[in-house]
Amino acid sequence: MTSFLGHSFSRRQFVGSVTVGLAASVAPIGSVRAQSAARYTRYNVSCEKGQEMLKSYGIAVKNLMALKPDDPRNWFRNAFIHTLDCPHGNWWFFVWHRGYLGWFEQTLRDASGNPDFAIPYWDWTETPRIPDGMFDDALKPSNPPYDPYIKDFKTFYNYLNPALTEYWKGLSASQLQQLETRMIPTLDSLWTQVKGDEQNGAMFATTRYARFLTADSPEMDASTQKAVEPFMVRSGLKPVEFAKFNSVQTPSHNSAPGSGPGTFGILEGNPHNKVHNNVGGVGHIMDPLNFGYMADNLSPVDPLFFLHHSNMDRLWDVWTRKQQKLGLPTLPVGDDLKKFEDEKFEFYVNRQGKPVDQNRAGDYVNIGGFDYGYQRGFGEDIIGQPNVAIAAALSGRFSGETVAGVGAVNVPHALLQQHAAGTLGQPLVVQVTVPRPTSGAAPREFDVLINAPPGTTAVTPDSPYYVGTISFFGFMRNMTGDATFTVPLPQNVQARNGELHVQVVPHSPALAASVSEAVRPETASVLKAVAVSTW
Amino acid sequence: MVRAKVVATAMLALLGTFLTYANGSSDRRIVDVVLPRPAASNETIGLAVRVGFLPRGTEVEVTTPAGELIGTVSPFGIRDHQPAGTYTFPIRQSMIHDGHVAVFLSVKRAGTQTRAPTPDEVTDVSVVFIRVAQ
Repeated sequence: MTSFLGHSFSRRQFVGSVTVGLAASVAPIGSVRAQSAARYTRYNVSCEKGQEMLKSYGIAVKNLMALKPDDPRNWFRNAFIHTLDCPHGNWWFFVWHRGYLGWFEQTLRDASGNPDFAIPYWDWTETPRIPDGMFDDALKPSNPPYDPYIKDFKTFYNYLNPALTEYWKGLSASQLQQLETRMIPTLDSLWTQVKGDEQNGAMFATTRYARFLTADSPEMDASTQKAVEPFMVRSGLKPVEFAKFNSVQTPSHNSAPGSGPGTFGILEGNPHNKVHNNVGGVGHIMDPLNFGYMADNLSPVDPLFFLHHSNMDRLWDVWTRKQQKLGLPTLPVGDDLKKFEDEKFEFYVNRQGKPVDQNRAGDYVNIGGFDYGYQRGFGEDIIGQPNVAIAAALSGRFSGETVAGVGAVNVPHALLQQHAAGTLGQPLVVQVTVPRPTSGAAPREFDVLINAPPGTTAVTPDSPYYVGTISFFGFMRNMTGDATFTVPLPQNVQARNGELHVQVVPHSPALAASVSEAVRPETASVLKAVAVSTW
Repeated sequence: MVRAKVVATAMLALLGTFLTYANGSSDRRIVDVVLPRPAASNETIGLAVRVGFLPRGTEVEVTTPAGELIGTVSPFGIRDHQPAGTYTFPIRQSMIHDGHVAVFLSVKRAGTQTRAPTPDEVTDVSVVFIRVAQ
């Protein structure tokens, strides 16, 4: 066994390191390195290198099982981090699991004695069965090495409860508050859920039932194969908005899955859930007390968990690189970004078994200091759509809402990014609707302003708010109603809180001042309607 | 997005622009959703199935009328009596006929007979348009 004397990353090192995948190669599936910059490679478990990693993994699992239960790196103790803190059914699903795997991968590396160790991934789309080697020794939780710990619930409880009791005493007020939200207010309530009942099932499983799929019958069932098929996975990678790729935004990563609208992203709701449940026996085992570990939140007891989530993390990386290639956002935009990144993850431990300093979701949006990359797997072909596809995805007309002469238009951040970069492939314009002049003395020229303070009455063309001037040509008595003008938006236009604020004011302040009270608009801006559109 | 409220077996209901109905079979419910418009070239179509509380180990299978499996609602990590949430399944163009998507819904659990979901189990089925880059 190794000395477990690895170093931990400082915060600066952690967030400042390279982002995986930017240098992704165009090599075919099965080629070795996805990116040369990463120190470690997560291999497809089905390839030769992946099988080598599996041997190291088996050693690590056994060594971590042998650690005393008061050591947070103990195999079962680590599984409880997932039980206490894992988000499901919300938009922190991917980012939380990245941190969870990333920290534990370092612990596994130390425990394996292999300085190059990285968690292999199970590409269930290509291999819809339990990977070879995952029935060997400590890699299968229904094998004899697990008996001393999980042969029955009493054994499991007696083994872990003293250590968990001490751990609970050391939890911070913030951690306890999170557990309250999670409906695990006390250690007793945790054990109640772990033991389970007939109505809710159990998180715990005896050695005999620890995993449903067997070496004799390793194939996933038909409905799970459907959930991991190429059409499903590609569909999950296609959305161009973070909010659609992920599950729904919720108040907390501890919000119950399914609460509120509870909308799952395609990848979490389908392949993720089905693989968990099929491996655990859902749909095949009648008694929910006898589902395997993978079917519930103590799932990291089954070593398959980490291969499954390595693949989920890989797919997030594929989606991220697809977005980068298209010049589209990889994270929430506007105010949502802060809400997303500031969420606190307070239960991770590092390779020394100590709480980590990096406890914000934002610390894990990049692979960063974990410094791993992926061997290419299914889904890579979605990266690299031509620019014309970007324009097709983003083209459209976005109508605004106008109140008291000020229009607010919600424009996709990606569209403005493309416009700013000059890669949109078509002009971006603002369309303003204003009333026609009602008399020959009324203003006929107006300035279009973006993001000017409300009530602005005039600007000069060098103003940062000035976009352009629109003009009515002359005055005709039979002109009535409104007119719409189209004005190109400058390349550097920026949204405020996701919106462009538009006003239209008389071009000449002197002329505006000379207009009689009867025809002067009630507000400085005469805007009646507004839209932003590709053109 | 257009929504189809799921109604009890053997009921026929016209709800706005869409038609929802079920046949007399007790092992499935048929839901027919009318698309409000075709998908644009930068959109894919998904079927969003909203599910209430399901007893542990219970799944909802979604198939085409021809029996082709579209997907399975398989809740994971749901706590005491919480709703299972809304699950989105991608829809192939071949599943759309005359602007309609018809699906069968069945509740499955090991050791029990397949049955139609109750209104509390599947509370809503809707079509969603998802923006994509191709």
